[in-house]
Amino acid sequence: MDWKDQLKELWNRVTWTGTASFSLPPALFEIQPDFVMGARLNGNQFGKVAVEPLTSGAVAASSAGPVVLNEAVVVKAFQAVVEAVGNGQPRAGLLVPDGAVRVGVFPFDELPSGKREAATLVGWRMRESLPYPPAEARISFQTVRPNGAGLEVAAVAARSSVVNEFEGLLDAINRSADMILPATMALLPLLSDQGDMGHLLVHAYSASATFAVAHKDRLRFWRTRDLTGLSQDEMFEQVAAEAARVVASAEDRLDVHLGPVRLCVRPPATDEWAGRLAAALSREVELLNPPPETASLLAGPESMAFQSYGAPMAGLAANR
Amino acid sequence: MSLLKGLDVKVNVNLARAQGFRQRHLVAWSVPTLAIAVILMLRMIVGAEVDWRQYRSVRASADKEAGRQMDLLTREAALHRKLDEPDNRALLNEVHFINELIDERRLSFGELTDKVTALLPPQARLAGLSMPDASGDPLVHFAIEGSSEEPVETFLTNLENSPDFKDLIITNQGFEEKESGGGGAPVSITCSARYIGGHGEWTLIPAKPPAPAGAEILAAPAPKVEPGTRTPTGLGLPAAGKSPLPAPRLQPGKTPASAPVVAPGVLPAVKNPVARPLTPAPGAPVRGGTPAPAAPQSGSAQPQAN
Repeated sequence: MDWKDQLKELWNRVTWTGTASFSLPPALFEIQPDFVMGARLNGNQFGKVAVEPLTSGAVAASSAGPVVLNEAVVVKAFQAVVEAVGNGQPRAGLLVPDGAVRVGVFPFDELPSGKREAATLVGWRMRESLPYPPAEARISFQTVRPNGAGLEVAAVAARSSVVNEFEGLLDAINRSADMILPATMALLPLLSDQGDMGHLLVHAYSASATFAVAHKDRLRFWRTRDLTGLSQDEMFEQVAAEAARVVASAEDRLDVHLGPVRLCVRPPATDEWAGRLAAALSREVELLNPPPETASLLAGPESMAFQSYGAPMAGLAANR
Repeated sequence: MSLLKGLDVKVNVNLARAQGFRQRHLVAWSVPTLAIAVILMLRMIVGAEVDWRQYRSVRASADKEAGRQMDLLTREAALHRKLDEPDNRALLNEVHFINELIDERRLSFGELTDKVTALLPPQARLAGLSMPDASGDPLVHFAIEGSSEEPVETFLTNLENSPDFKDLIITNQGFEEKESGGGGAPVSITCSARYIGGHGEWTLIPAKPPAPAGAEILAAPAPKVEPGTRTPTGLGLPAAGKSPLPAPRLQPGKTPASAPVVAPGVLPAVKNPVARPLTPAPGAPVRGGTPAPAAPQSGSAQPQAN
């Protein structure tokens, strides 16, 4: 390690800042490679929703970064969304592409009591799945003690520069990021109780698909596939094949008996995928849509847009 | 109240940066900081008002003093004008003339007696000291008594060699039988010399506490004449026996009741000048007693031998 690396490491140690706890700000935004969405929360209900499409290539779902390739276009889309939903609270939450983050589940005997030491240890465990040095990662994790012994850590990591890019987008519209999460993570609270059976959540959207297995209160498995450049049929085939692998892996290796597959499709994926996926997996597939209660204040195009794109935001509202 | 029931997975992760100490406490500290700032501002306002009042009070006092100063200047100018009148000018000239005369008298009688006493050997004593003429180099008369000739001669030798005296003249010399107690005849001598060491500062040397018993100084240097004051002698000199204070110079503008009369050359008389007790030489006859006080005379004091 030369002096530059040592200096960089020292700088990272000095400037290290922990991540915040989960909080739900009243203004929510989501940025994906093909759209920007904004919504305003009134309690548990959404009062305003707006979706602004993005030109191809403006945003890349890259975990190594950069993610914002055309900042002017993205900021313009954000400003259009802000104008539609209204200027409100400066605190905002942002849902980002799953491909921009890394999610993993790791068992631990024990974690250090210090946040920084614990985050460093989790980052070290995630080092093989990170396309950048762990020191450059901003890590947030939650722990579960499954059987009273040992720890299971569900960690989310994103490169600091990538997160800074997202935060810069909110700064451009005079908002501060109080919450940043991958979009699929926001869907987890929408999974209803299925007793001893686990959930397979399939989230297909924006030329990517994420597969997550949750059992009771634990996230057990997470995988994100980049489907950029594929046609819809090719995308579905990839999704179905990956879903089959995840089902097999979950039942064989994780010893989790899965219940109905929960499928959340957002454009360009369609609701037809549910029947096709059920046929491909020979399993019951249920569409995961935003609860109607959360959209009771919306009407017309806003309601339709929310039904098409708003499932993750609805999941955030359910995570109180 | 949540509209969604039966959820399994709760999300507690968040990639947003935790708020720093400054951000978390910005609002919490801003209120007390603002309150303190308001209190300080009120304090400054009250303090400024108090200072303004004090300033106005001091300013009024300063204006009042300036008015008094102007009044005094006006009075001073009027006095100057009055002083410049011909009568007052002539009086001032006379006072200056008198003060110049007094300034010329820079003789310290105490210094003179100290110097004479220093010339005396132990077996001789100063029986009389007078200064009949104080003008120029004053002439001093000495009356010396000794237990033998030797101390008297020693005194004369010392007097002759002294840089303070010149022109030594022996005017009288004699031997006197001792009346009682036996032991030979003391030698007495009368001489005179010019005192040339008295050109020091005009100072009044009071009677010295350690002076030998039987000797006291009644003389005092002539103080400066102050217009408008009369001395008991009418010569502008303090009365004998009183401890005169240094007289102030003439203050312009004071009009004396009458012009002082000054007799140039007047010096205070000496009564019982400082004398050493005789310390007889081994085997020499000793005469007891102290010199009789000489009657103060104007201009001279004759020593009287016992």
